[in-house]
Formats: sequence, structure tokens, C-alpha cells
Amino acid sequence: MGNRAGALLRYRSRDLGIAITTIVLVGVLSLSTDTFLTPGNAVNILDQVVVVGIMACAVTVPMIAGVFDLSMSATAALSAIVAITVANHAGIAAGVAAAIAAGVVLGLVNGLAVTYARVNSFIATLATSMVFRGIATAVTDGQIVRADDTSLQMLSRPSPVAGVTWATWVLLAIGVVTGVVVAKTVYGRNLYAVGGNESAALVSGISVNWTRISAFMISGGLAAIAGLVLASRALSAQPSMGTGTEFTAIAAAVIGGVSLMGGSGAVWRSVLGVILLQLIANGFNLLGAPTIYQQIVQGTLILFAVSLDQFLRARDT
Amino acid sequence: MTTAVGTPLVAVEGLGKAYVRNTVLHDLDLSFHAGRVYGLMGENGAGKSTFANILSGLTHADSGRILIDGEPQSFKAPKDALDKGIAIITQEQSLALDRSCAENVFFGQLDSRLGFVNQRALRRRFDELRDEAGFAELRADAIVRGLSQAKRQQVEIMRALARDARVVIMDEPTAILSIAETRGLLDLIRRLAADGRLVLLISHFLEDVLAVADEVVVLRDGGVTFAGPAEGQTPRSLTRYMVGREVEIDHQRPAEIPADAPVRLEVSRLTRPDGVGPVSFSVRAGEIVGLAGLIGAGRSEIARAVFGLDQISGGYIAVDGVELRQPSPRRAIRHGLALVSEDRKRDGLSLVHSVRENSSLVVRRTFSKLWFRTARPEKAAVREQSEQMSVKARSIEQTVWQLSGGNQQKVMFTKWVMSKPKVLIVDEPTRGVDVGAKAQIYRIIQDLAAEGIAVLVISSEIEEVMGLSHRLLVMRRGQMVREFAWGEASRTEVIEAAFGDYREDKAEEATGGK
Repeated sequence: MGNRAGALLRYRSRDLGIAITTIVLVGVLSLSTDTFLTPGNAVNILDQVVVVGIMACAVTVPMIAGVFDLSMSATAALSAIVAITVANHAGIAAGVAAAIAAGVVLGLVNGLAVTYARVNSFIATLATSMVFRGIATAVTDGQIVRADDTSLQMLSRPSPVAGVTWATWVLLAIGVVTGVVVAKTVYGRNLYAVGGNESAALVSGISVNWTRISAFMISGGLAAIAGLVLASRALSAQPSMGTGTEFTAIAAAVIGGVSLMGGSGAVWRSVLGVILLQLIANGFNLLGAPTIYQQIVQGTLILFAVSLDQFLRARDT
Repeated sequence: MTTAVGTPLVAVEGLGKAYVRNTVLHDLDLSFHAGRVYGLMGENGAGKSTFANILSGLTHADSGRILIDGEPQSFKAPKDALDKGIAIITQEQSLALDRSCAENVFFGQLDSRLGFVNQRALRRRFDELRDEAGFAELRADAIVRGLSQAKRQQVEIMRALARDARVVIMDEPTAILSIAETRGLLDLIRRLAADGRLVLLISHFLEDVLAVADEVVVLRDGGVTFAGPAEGQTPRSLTRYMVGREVEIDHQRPAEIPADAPVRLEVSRLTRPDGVGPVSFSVRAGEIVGLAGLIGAGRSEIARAVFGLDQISGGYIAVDGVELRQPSPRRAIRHGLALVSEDRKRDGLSLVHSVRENSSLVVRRTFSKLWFRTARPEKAAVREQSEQMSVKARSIEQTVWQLSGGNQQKVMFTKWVMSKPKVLIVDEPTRGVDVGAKAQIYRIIQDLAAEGIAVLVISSEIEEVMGLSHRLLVMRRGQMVREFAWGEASRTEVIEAAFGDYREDKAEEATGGK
């Protein structure tokens, strides 16, 4: 009795958990404040989640394959510096292309360190993030790099559709493309297989190393785009920009049910995790509650999400 | 055999346990006396491990009670059971891999002087205990990580002895042991009982249980179907209690291979850097070739090398006459090889994923258009193949870890059969699989051979390889030493061929001095 419903609940619990929590929070905030459910506030929230949102999409890819990327904000900073430097000489299009190329190359470095050099991804990307930021400081002398061309600023301007900023559309596009790649392609399948059981994937003819290297290249490339959005805000870039953003992104992904052990996760849930964290921050703001409690709530939520993941994985024999 | 009298050391009354989905144990009444060995048997899912876990405090019963020396107990954690003298040695070992044997054995009761560990006293106690247990080769300061599975198990057993356990529960201890090691363990179990301890041996290996147990308890679907003296029981009678019917695994003569059947797998002078080989053999279409030998004789090593999982240092491998150069799993699969590996949890299945995801992993590209997956044909194909393999699952979307060992094994077969292999290598096809599923797996292997696939079967169960194979190759110390046709050899002859080396060594030792 109720077995079937129970199984469905179990099977879908990750999806349902994050979706229901978000809907409930939106409902509560709509009822308890007059200011939450206004177009202005919605546009605001959607713009604020862009950078972390892109990084959450990015980190979901290597996390599904069972590896972490802690170098995303450093990659973003270095790529943004490359973008502005190149743009100042060769135009904005070349700048954007150079930034993404730089991000992909930095991702390749991470991938090689984790696979062929066999360094645990946690340590490897922590180390490379120091290297990347160090390079950024060296090439800029620690100074802010300013853009001559102001067209990058367009990202922070409202688009004609629904009044949301162009940056929001960038996030949406990245979310959809990454989501489709992960959920619908053979490559995505390989990511899950490698994260689920590395040895079994190898025996099944999957190149474990290449799958992980390419996952880092994707997260590097996407981190570069996050860097571009950051740079567009002040029309400048500097070595210390975005420090620590990847931790929020990983926390959001975990809240969205991406497993720390690899093998499970979905891009849309990671993005929802980011929105959930932002809604909490926004709610504290609108309710005029002391912001110190905001961190307590967000931290508790992360603990809860990881604990839930463990329960879902626990075997009942 | 004497009948036990007096208060049982351990007794359970009305013990019951249910998990969300199903009842695992109902209303068990059992008593166990000191100084005896009890064999606990049953198919996978019969409730053996749950029972052992309750006795050792790892899980709680929903109903009923546990009595020790006639007194009711409530075990809230393994520590409570340990305090009452109940120790369990499980399949998943719980050792600190980077610490020494002595530390592992005496954790929690280290000798200390002013807060520092007194290494000398520790070593002395270790040596005494080791000699008592008869594990002559174990060294106090050896790091556990460097030890074989069998040695690690000895460390676990010593830890139980160090705690003065009166009740020692062993869950499938012989599964990881070679024949010689198993003999040693069974001897030790007898000695433990002779010292007045109670040993509860949970095992799939009926011969092992019958060799050592005074009493046998058989569980089926959470209830007791037999409890009584081991004397007079046979593997067949116990099997009947376990499955509720008599399962005939009477191996029949394998189907005749056509005289003109071509050679599908040819291996010539294959050598590995670790000294296995050179080994040459071939398997024809429709033929089942068995590889027997002791653990460590090089059987799995040959399989892994042919499949490209391990490096080779020389030799020639060909499938249907096409040479497999620089073997890797990818190339091997492309040439038509398939490997059902020996440890499905390690490198066979992704346990967190579904039957479908696991089954279609090798052929993932078949179910795609321009990189995109095509879900519908994939589901249809997996459903059809799983049905043929009679995989029992709620649906093909059920997570693999929820399935029984036998069904997991069938998922492995499904996965590789979907790749339509020319050559199928099967390593330990029935490990951790219950009796009913075993017969089904044998049928699957025979059917696949009948379709023209060349099959190489590796197994530690001698009857299994003897019964299945057209030809049986025996390996010893990295070499092929004997070849038997079906029905040509007796079990003893095969064991002698596999052990030959050991006996020759003994013979040399005996005559060497003169």
C-alpha cells in the first residue's frame, strides 16, 4: 500500500524538495511583504543571481563527474583581465572570445592536474586558483584594468523583453545549453557514469580522463563568462574580483541536490539553489530582519541539503 | 555429538524486524550455546545479515528480545554488544588502513605510559595473541594497507579475540579466501569453539559450513526453516530448506560445438609485467572454456590483460583473426570483447544509477542521434533485454543497489549482451548470488554460447567451471598447467592440478634435507 507513491516520492524527492521549498518561500514572501512581488524586485533578484548562477551551472558539470572546481572565481578574474586587455587593443568581440578561450585553457590545466598528475580535485583546483590569481596580479601589477569600450556595460542594462537585464538572458541561455548537454547528450551520460563509478565507466569503454578534463574545460569557459558579467558591472577588472564566489555556487548546487560524491545532479536544480539563497537574502532585506541571521539560515539550509543527500543514498538492506 | 544443556549463552525470543518496504525477520525464536559452532544459512535477502546486525547492535529489532545468559539485553550501539562479549566480523572490514596491525587489534585499549603508547608492551601482547590464534605470518608493526584481504581478516579476528569476545559472528568470511586460507580459518573456528566460545558462521558456501558447524540454522524469507544438528545434513538437503524446493544444479553435457566452428578468441604467449604468463589458448564460436585455479594463480589477471585493463608485456590477442593491438577497454569493446568483471561493486555497476542507465552504458552511442540521446529506443531495448535475462526489478528505472546480488549480476550480463559481443569473458559469475539465481545465470551463459559467442568462464567454484565448460584450463602460478575436456576430470584431479605446486614444494621440503 502506498508503495508506488512512496517510490515516486523517493525517486523524485530531489526534484520536489528544491522546487517546493522555492515555491513556498516565494509564497511566504509575497504574502508577508508588499514589496516582494513587484516587477522591480523580480528584475533585481534575477540580475543579482547571474554571476553565481553561471558558476553554479559551471560547477555542476565537473561535480556530476565526481570532481570539484574551486578555481572558478580565479579563472573568472584572470579571464576578465584578458578580456579587457584584448578588447582595449582589438575590439570587444575579440576580447570576449579571448576571455572564453582563456577560461577553457585554465580549465584544461585543472583537468590535466586532476587526471594525469593524479592530484585530488579539491587540492588541485585550490592550488591552481592561487596560481591563476597570482598570474592575474603579476600581469596587472595588482592594478585595476579599465575598459575603453563601454559596450560591455550593455549586459547590466534592461532588455526590451520583460525589463530584465541582458545578463539575465545570458544566464538563462547558459542554463538551458548546459542543462541540455548534461541531461540529453551522450556526453552528459558519460559524466554521470564517471561520477557514479569511475572503474565501471572505464571498463565500459568510457575515457574517464577525457571526460573529466573536458568537464573542467566547460567549467573554465563558463567561469570566464561569469567574469565578463562581473567586469561589465564596473567596466573594469582586477585580480581579486569575485573571490569566494565558487563556494556560494557549490553550496547552491548542493542545495539543489548535486551529490558531493558525483553521479547525480541537474543544472536546473543548481540554478534554483542559487535563486533560493538569493530569495532568503532578499527576504531578510525586505522584512528588515537583521542580516546576521541570514547567514545562519543559509548555512543551516546547506547542512540540511547535504544531510538529505546522505539519507537518499543510505542503503536499506 | 552431545546435546546442549543449561542456559543458552545467546537466545532470541520473538525477534522481528521490518523495513519500509518489507518484513525482513518475523518472530524468530533461537538459542545458541557456548562452545559450539552454528552455521547460519539462507539465500540473499533471507535475513541472515539483518539477524547478525541486530545481535551485534548495528541495528535494532522492532519486536522481541535478546537474552544473554538468560538476561534480557537492549543493545543501542555496537559498543553495548561488545561489552557483553559479542563481536562481529563483517564482509566490509572496518580497519584503519594506515595504522599497524597491533594498533588495529588493540584500539581503545592501547597500553600507555604517561599518555604515550607503550609500543613494546603492545607488541608483546600482540605476539601472544597471534600465537594463540595461529596467524604465524602476521607482524605487529605491519601497516594494514599493505596486507592481503585474508590477512586483514585475521587482524579483525584478533581484534575480536583481544576484546575477549565470547560470541564471534562471522559474515561470509571465506568468500575472499583461497582454498588453503579457508582451511586455516575453519581450523581456527573449531579452536575458538573448543575454548568455549560461540561461533556464528554466516556463509553461502555449504561445504564450509558443513565442515565446521555443530548446528545449522536455515532462514528463508525471515523465518526459520530448519534448526538442528549439522550431522546428517547434505548440501542438497540444506539447499532444499533455503529455497523451499530442490534445486538441481546437475550440470549436463554442454551442447556439441560444430566441428568447423571458427576460433573467435586467440591468445598467444600473453605475458604480464607481474610475471603472469606466457599463456596461450583459444576459444571457438559456441565454446565455453573454463579457467580454474587458486586465487592469485593469474586467472583474473589474464582476463584483465586480454580486455586491456592491465598492461601486457608481450603476446598476441586476436578476435576473429583481427589482432587487438595495444589493448584498452575501448579497443577491446570495439573488437567485440565483453567482460563481466569479478567484483560488480568495484568495476561492474554504478550502484547509484538505474537498471536502464547501467544496462545501456556500453552501447550508449547506439541510442543517440547527433550526440543527443534517444530515450525511447533505449528504454525499449533495455526492457526487452532485461526481460530475457529475467532481471527482477520494479521497473528499469529502479536504482541498482536496491536489487539482490543475483539481479545485479543479471544487470551486468544485460549490459554486456546489449553490446552483441563476439567474445564474452565472465569472471566469478555467481559470487554472492543465491542458489536460484545461479541456475539462471548458468542458463544465460549456455544460451549465449549457443548463439555463437565464445565464452571464457573464470570461477573459484570448481563444480561450476567443471560443469559449464567444454574445456577446462587449470592455472597455477601464472601458467596453464593442465587441460581437461568436459567430464574427463574429477574434482580432486582439478584441485590437485591447481595445488600441484604446493605439494611439490612440500615434497621438496621433505626430501630436501637428505
